[in-house]
Amino acid sequence: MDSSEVGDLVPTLGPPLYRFFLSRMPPQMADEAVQEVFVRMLRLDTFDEGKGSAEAFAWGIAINVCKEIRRQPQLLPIDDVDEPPAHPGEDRRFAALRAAVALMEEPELSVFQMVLADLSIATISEMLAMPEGTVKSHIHRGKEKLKRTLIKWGYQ
Amino acid sequence: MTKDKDFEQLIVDFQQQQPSAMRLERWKRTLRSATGNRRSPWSYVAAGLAAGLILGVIISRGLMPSRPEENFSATYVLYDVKNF
Repeated sequence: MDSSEVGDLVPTLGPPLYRFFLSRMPPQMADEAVQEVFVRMLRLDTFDEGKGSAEAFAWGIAINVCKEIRRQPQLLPIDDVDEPPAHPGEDRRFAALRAAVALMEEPELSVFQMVLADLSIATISEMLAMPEGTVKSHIHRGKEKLKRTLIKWGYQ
Repeated sequence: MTKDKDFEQLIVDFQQQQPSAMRLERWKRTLRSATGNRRSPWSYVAAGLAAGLILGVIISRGLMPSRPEENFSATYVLYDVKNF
């Protein structure tokens, strides 16, 4: 893909990608992760229009970038905290939600990150090549887990 | 938070977050600069051809006599002298 093709996708793909990463990492890291996705779209020669859309290509890269980044020590899940730390200017509820999401495991994690990115069930199903029914059951289980964690942390 | 309604509201609030216009602009700018740094495959072909040409000139100069025309002129001089 050339830079104008990827650049055209920035206004539509940028915001959901930003929320996707924001559900797992602080704002500054999420910003850099989105940038990394767009640069990889430009540099990787593996995009084939016949095999899938540019959006699916982008989300595939985003999931890989997220897997790479979340191995960093500051993003490892922590379960024994009184209150998850919020970053300057950030809503403390969002910081708690992010810390609770970090305790989820694949494939629920990617599904729920996409829910928080505000993608529809149909889109998540297409991007993850997963039946809609499976997506819905992951969402349901993910919500129950999140609620339990947040209650345990005292968010009532 | 125990109330489902509050939890759903938290999800909706999270989904409404937007990157700033400045961030969107920076992502576009990074793409432009990434393209500028990207080397075209043709640049490698051009570099290879230029190197081949230089090498070819060096080899041909090394193998050929430096001024072959001197030998020819000497032969013609001898021929001319014989037939004078």
